Amino acid sequence: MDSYRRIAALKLQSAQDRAHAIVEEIGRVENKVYASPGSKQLLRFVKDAAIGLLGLLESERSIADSDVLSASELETRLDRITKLIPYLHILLGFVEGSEVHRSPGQLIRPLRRYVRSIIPGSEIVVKSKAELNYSIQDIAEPLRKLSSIIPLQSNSGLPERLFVVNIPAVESGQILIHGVLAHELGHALYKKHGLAAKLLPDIKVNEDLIRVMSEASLLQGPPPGLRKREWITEQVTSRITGWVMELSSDAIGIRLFGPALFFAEVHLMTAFKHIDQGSVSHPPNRLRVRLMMRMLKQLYELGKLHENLQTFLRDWDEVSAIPIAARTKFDELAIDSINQSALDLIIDASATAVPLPQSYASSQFDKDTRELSPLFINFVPPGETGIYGRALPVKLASIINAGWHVYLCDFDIFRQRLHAGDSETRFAAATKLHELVLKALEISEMKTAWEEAKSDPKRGES
Amino acid sequence: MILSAEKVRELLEHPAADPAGRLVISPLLEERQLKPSTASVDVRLGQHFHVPLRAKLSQLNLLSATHKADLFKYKDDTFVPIGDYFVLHPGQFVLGETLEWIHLPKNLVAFVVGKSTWGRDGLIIATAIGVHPNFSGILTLEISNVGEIPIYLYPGLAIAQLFLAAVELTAESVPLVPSAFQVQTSPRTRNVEIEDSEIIKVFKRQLDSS
Repeated sequence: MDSYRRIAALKLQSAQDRAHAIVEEIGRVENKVYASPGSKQLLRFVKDAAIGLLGLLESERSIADSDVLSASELETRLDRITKLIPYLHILLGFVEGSEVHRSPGQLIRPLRRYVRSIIPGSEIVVKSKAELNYSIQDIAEPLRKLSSIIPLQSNSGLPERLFVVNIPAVESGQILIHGVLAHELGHALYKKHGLAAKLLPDIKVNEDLIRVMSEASLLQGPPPGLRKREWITEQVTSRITGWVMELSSDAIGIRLFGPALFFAEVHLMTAFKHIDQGSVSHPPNRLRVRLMMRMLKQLYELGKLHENLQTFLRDWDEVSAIPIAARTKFDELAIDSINQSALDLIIDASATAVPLPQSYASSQFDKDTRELSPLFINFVPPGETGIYGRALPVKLASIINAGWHVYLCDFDIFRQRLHAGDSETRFAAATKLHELVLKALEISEMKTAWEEAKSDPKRGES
Repeated sequence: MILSAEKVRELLEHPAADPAGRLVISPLLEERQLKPSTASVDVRLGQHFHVPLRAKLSQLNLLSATHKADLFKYKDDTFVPIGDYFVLHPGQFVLGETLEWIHLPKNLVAFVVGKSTWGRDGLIIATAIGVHPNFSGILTLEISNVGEIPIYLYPGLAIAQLFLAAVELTAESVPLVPSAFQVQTSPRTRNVEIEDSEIIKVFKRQLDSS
């Protein structure tokens, strides 16, 4: 027992060193400039938690020194606290890559404003990471759980929702592709509005097919019979759960950003993913395109669009209608369940997550492509519209849709007008368009934020 | 002829139907940027800086074969969000930008001059001054602190003034070829014109062999 007490003392000391290292590291990074206000909030939280942890570890010393607990009881007791250290490292990792020079600074403020307009009380941390993946993760709940274990000083400052938004580092300047963030916001709204509970009970799995499969010996897993049937059902159900969430997020994204989400997704997805490849969490891209095309046809007057856009959408429509060549039997069953009527259920449910004023309407798309796109072609970033003195900031979704319209319909004209050095390659010319879109977002945000600052009640205070 | 603030206001209030023919200065956040009875528009400091990295390079040699690559080594891009600041130390030089996007129609030219308020504190904003007709982009500002104490640069503050003048066009006037600085969205340096550097190198060779 003496030996364990010494080990316990060492464990405590070592854990305190780890917590001290976290506090030290935060001291080093907290003075950096972060593009997202959420980064500093998160750093403050982790610092508080590490200091709180130090206090907890210190208070465990007297218990470890006494003979009150057996070695195993003491190990369990200490483990409850020390196992929190890796969590603090994970939280610290969320801040990495959100430094101002690593994320598109001009995008953060308008994106934050947009997120807060659809999910009030939220905060964001935008970080770029060297992986080809866009993601969003709400970490407010785990933070609250952590603060119920570790006594903190400033947990009251935590936002209701804290979203960590990851964008691929090398795509950081590809602002039009960032349109896929509407899908990521869709995830947040899917959870907020409890769409899983509304949708999943109505999506039926074909029991007959499962029975036939469970009796055949084609699949690995348990031997044919009841156990195998349960196993197959489990595999298919987990796919349906994941796929419905992804498809719903696409549907919500289309309501938020309109065609821009579709354009961004097909440009990103087709670049590196097989159109019929699904996974447990993600449906095949063809199914996603099928849902989005269905929505675009319902919500937008496609027949009135620019000829190039009509051709582009018609191509995708035809491709999406081709039966999906499922890669696995489980995928096949999930595809069978998520049929046309299931897609309609998802489309209808997405409307409950996006109130009409936040939806990007067909009339708005017409207006944006008519009024804003020509400005891009003439190298004027449309961050505000209206004449001097009465100009109003343009909304984020409008800017991105107008940018996509130029990319898909008038790119050759845009490219021809650029200096030879900027139009040498298609990519170089596209980069100029992305930069113009980003500048438009900056102008729009500056216009809005300036007016807010002017009416700030604390204005004039030192 | 230099345009009065009233004339500039008139052009902004009555934009041409064709976007190419418009004068655009965006965003103009305050009325006072166009003061009545003056002949200029105040422009603000933007959020991007192109900072020299002295530790990386011993010199800049325009005729060096590695000059283009050196430009990337020598300068680094920094984004300073509004509300934050950039400290410019005595003797330090940095490229900044105007917050405003400037778009000139074919019949207007512009000149950018630093505001004297800053000049009196030792901040010299020497821009390439002349902005040609049909230009579109932010304006790069070459900012130096020639004073003796560090100066805080806050994006969003008025830092320079833009004078606009009419260009007399003739029937033979042809559309300008886009300049290398066209559609510039952040401060940038450019390589010297290769033709000129090649000619200077001929002279250099002649000197070396004599």
